[in-house]
Amino acid sequence: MLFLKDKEVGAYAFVGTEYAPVLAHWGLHGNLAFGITYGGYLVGFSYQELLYSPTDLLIFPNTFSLKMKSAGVQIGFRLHDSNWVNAILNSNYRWGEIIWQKPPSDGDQFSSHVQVLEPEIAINIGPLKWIKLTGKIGYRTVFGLNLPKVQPNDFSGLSSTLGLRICLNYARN
Amino acid sequence: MRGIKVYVLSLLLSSCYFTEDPKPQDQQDWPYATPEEIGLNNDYLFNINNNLLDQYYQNVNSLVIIKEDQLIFENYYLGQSRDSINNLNTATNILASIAIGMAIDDGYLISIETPIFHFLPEYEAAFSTDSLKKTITVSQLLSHRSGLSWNEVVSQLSDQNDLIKMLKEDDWTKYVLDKRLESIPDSRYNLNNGGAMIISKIIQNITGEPFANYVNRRLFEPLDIKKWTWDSDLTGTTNATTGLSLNQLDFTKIGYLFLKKGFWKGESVLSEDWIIESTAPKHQLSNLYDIGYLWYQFSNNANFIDPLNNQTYYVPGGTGYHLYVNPNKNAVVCIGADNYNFGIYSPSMILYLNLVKSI
Repeated sequence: MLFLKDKEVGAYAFVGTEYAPVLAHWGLHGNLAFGITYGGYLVGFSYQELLYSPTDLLIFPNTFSLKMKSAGVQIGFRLHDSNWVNAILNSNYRWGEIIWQKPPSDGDQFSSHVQVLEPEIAINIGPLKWIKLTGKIGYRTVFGLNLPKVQPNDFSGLSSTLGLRICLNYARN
Repeated sequence: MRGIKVYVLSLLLSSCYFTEDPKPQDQQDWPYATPEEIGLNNDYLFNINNNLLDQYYQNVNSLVIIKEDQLIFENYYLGQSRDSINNLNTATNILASIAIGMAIDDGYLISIETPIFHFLPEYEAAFSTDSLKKTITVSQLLSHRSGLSWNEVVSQLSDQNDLIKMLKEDDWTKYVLDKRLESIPDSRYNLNNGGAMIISKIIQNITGEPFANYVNRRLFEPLDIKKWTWDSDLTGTTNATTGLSLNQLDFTKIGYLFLKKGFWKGESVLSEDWIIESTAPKHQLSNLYDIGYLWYQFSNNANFIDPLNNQTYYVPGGTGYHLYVNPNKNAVVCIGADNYNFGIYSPSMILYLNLVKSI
């Protein structure tokens, strides 16, 4: 157990909402992440889903709605730590899909696999060590998209996130 | 340490959930546009769609419109979807015309004026009953002017319908060839979709492979048509009369190939010479339409419906599967339907005639 000697280990979970580009608008996403910390480092799982469905007259005369979700890994390290505030540099790499769906039937729908890279800086603020309010600024890049009427750039750009982060640590001596 | 490894591994594996592909890729053949985006009226086509939803056109199950090389209308009705594969009924026989063109392109066939007798040695007995039968040519079969006795202009539910009687036989080619001559070949038009069975057997004999295999290799594979079924008679001869089942977008590709003069995505699949020859009017059938080589054309008298309507050629399948190619408007209209027994003026044709002004 030399690996753990003198290191702080723990687990974290995050839930929040993110605004990121979706078809030239700020689209509201739900974000979920959890993982483990080791010293100043973290590794975990990250999930993101678009919380509303923009629509388009994609294949006349039918209106299709857009869905997007992705999941993958999150790695990062702590830049700053104090009692009230800590700062973390994260990078998320997710695999997912973007779907055009014809409502109400789910018979006609088209999807494309995408990959999402989203580095971000998170500031965690709060008096309690185990729960803090989190704000993040990042940049989301989507690639691998192959669907009609949408381009990777429609989903790429600056992102901002607000949420709660729970972190349980203990020091190992 | 081991626990951490297992944990990280499980995180990575959970991500793999999203690498599955449960949903189809979109079609890659035409870009999408709304009618309005290419200068047409959305509202008129919305009304057409509402009429189709209300079954105003009787059992139309799909409508696809390609205009200016873009997919401007695609919708399905009566529980159908893009993936639905339906039997084209007698619209199948347009593949007989196309196969003859490809056989000429490939050097299997020198002339469509060659008597079919030369390609069908196994049916010598059928030709021996009347010496005039030996003068029937491929072109006469392709324009329903073989002179063979044939009763098809009655309900497909009738036991007098030769097409239905043929489908009950073991050897459908033989059934058609055994029919007596009721007129001198090339002297008059008589709808005879059974003639496509003779073409099927000819293609099989001259290419050395079943008609379905030849069409698949020469046409479907270049057009990326993968989901098709084709039945055959008990002798294994492909049913080129009524046996093909396709989805609607794939059926549309055949019309689009003709609109593009035989080219598909820059590759020549069928010679322009055959397209011009097979779609040109050969015989006037009525005031409103003519026939080429299994393609029908609106006659000059139909221009009151839409100017230059006479440049449109089409396949009127018996159950309402109609494919219209309108070079003047750079458009293809493909209609899927199950409205039997309305003849040439089926609800599918009325739908096209109501559409044509708006595109």
